Amino acid sequence: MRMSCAVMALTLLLSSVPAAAQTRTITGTVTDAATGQPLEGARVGVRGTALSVTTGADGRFTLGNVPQGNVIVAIRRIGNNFVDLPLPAGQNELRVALTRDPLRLSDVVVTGQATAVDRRNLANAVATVSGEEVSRVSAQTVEQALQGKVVGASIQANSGAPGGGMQMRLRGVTSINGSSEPLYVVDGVVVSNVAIPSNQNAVTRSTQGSNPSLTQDNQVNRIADLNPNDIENIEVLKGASASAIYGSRASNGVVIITTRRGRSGERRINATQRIGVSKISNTLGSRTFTSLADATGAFGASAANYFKQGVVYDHEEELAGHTPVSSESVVDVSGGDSDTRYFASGLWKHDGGIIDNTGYGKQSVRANLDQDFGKRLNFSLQTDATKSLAQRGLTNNDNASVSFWMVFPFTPSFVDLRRNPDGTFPPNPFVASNPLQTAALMKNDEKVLRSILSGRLTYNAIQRQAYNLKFTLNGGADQFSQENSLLFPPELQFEPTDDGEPGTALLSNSNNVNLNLGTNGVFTLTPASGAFTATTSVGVNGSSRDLRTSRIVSRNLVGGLGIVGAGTDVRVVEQRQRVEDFGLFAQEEFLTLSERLLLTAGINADRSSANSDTKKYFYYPKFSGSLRFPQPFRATDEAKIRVAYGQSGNQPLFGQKFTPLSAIENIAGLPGLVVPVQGTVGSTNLHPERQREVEAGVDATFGGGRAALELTGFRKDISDLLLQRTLAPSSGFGFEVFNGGKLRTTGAEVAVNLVPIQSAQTEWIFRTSFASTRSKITSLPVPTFRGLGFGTALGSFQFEEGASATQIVGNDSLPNGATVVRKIGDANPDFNMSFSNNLRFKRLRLYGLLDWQHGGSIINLTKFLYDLGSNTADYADPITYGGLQTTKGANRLRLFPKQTGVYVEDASFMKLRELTLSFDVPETMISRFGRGVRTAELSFSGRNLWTHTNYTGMDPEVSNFGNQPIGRNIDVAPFPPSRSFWFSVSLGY
Amino acid sequence: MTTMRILSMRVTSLIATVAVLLFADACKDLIVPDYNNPGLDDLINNPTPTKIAQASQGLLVGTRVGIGEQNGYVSLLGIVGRES
Repeated sequence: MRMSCAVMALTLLLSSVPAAAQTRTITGTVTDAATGQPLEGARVGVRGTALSVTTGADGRFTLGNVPQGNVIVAIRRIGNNFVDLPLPAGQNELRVALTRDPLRLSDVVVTGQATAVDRRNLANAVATVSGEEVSRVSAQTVEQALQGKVVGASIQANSGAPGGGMQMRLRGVTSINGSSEPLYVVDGVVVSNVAIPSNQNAVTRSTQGSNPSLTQDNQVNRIADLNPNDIENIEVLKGASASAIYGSRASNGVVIITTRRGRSGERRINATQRIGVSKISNTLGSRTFTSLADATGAFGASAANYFKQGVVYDHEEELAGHTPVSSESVVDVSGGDSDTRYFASGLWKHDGGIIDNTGYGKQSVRANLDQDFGKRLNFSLQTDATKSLAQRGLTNNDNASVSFWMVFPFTPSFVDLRRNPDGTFPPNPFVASNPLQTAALMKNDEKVLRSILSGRLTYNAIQRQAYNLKFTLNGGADQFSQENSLLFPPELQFEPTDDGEPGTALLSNSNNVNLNLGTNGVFTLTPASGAFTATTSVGVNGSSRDLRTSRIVSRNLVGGLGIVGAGTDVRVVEQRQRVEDFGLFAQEEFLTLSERLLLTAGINADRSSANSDTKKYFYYPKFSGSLRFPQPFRATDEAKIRVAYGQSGNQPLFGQKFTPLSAIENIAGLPGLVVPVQGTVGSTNLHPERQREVEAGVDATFGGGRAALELTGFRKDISDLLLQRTLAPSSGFGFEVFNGGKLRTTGAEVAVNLVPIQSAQTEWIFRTSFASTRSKITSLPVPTFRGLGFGTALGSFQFEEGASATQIVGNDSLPNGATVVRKIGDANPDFNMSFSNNLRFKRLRLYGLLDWQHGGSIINLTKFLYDLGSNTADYADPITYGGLQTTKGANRLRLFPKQTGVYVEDASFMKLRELTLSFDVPETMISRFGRGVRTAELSFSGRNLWTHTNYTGMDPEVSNFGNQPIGRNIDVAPFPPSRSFWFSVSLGY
Repeated sequence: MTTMRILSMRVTSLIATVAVLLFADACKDLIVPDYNNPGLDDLINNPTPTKIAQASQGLLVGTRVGIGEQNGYVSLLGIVGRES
């Protein structure tokens, strides 16, 4: 009924449009004001009409159906300032020169699933990052390339392991138990970002502790597969007020990635070759023993057999001191004619690892094709195939003393672990594991084969002076297989002792398929009076995602073989999850008052197999308004006030709605179905968490586009949180997952962009941003409970009404000596800032990006482990504490476990994320690079070159449990961070 | 009728067909079972002789499993004693 109303409304609108008056055809050329070169891809429209056309490679355009009278022609192009030019009645030819827009204030930004608006009218603070900014310095993954570039986004690595494993959190905390991942949309298709554990837990036994979760496997979230060099543009919708149109999967924000496309014109080839080296950027160090008494005091009487005065081995350097050479080759070719345009690219990347048998390799091929069939019909196709191999080493928490930095705390620096001349390794006398041997003989390989295929068919059904109607059909398939192959051969020191079964082989195979299909219609109405432009879009889409993982654990390997079939003790598990979604959306954008006022209203309705009631639609409305004030004050080009409100959801996780029975028990081999001890009962009303976000802000531009200011405040109220409650034993079940409780996240964002110098010879672009969020659990219908962590003695996240959602609690001592559990830290930083400078002088360009996090807490359990081993670098440093003469390490252990705070540290850091010095080779010298070369650029660059922090662990960017809604900042034996240096040559043909 | 016009009509029909199919999909129930565990709902809604036999076997298992953990040795003895 509701839909038929929409169709009727559309029909009425169509029928009410007046017939076209007499028209004319205008032609013209668009050029670059600085160089005089023709500009391709500029959009030329006539104000007060729905007419528009794009310039070709020669900068020319032809636009028909233009009214006979005086009109205003609007010309806009990404990267240039837009121009409104009056065209008198008699004139049908015009020449336009566009100036550069270094701050990208004239961009068009995607706001719905089918529409986009000019940035100057945008009602939300949508962050945009261009492909050039993404690919300036070699990055392993897209998120790494975005660090410090998106205002309001916290993008942090979980460890320094090669191949990714990073979390992007947009505008603070939005869930406790739900998904923490933003929705990634690549060329209109939702792609998978799941993180699949390697199952290294079978050897590390990390789940035997208090956290039975495979998330300690240092897994990679799969957006890592995208090739950053293929990206044209990234838009980040940071909260429900912007992302509501994506419905129940948009609560953590939406990252919209557009890949590069061909343009009509001559064929162009770009080739970039990068060569680089990586080096560990921080080590923990360990205690240097100056006397035998110290050595035996820490490591027992047996230390006397190994201690030699003055002999110190740097085990960290021996393990992670490699400086491997890395390389990256990127080639792309693009071109086409007025009907067919193509873009194809290839990537061959190899990043060496700083530890034996670690590293990352990625090869990818992309082909994007656009085909016009006449003026009305367009088909675009995107294909992307990627193969990657990440060798991840063995890090993070364990309970078997095998993970590298779980062994070092208990291994003194006077023991020689290095390889013997005969190729064998000496056994570690203090822990039954030699990390140098483990690294040399083990493998932890993650191979991924992925293909993302998407297509879009656009049909401009009606194009009139006053209105147009466009239909789009889009679909895509994202398929990948991930193979985790791990081998721990019998020769390893720990292999016979860890479980009595020498040798372990692990094989996990995962297959993921995401399918999307959608269609939408957009009707744009601009009456002859030009009073307003109304854009109506309606759409429907369906999607499914299916992930199947089988895992084989094989122990007691026979005959030195490394396959799972060689074991005598073989176990198999399989997990499958599938979610199907269906959604509808409608949106109305109303632009009026000479394009000064934009009002938007939209609604998404969707249902999902993840909800208890799979037939029920959940509705997510949004409303927003923005009002521009041209030249409100002197020297102010324009100011804008904006307000936006929207709702979005966060679906229950697969399995949360079910009441599982256990079939692992049997009597004489006959299986018995039972409710598990402490079993979970499925709620009959489990539904998505709901976020209501209101965002308001002011934008202003000054000095002819030379300065821009963006101020934003927001408040997110998240209700119907997915929580777990304990049931009465008489129910027969232990727990139920249900919706309840409320969480509030508030924050502020400021972005300042300046072009202090702009001339033909010199340009300086300076950008800075500030973002801060706070969260509070405003209602919790269950008793206070703890989240990730290792209990109150070692620190843990705790959720309680009235408190910050990211608070860390632990034991603390009262003056009377009693021990209490109370807040000892908060993982949420006080604020984040970033500063970037892009300085061009003649042919030289210098770019630097500084990323600053102030505040936040980290539980440094790696330090605790070193203290337990009496082996921390500062362990023996003398200290006077409360009148007591002691050492730093002994004092910390004396205070532990009554004062967990001794291991909670400040997470503040400042990092030089990117630094590039590039040189544009003059035309006179280009011929030396070979025939046919048009452009050449040489550059030196580096990533994460410098870090300043008071944190005593390896890296304040750390998460033992991987990507989590809440639960980062727990440091347990992570992979060390590294810095990388690159030299690049880029040639254009 | 020109080729382009025929093409346009076909495209319109294609988009309309997909839209209709998607709307038809809207009527489809999005039921996905629990692939990883036998479920209580499945037992209640789709009972089979095998499932019922296993559930009844489960009654015997359930009276014993975890009893020691939850209620202790005395309780366990009480149950076993009552059954003997």
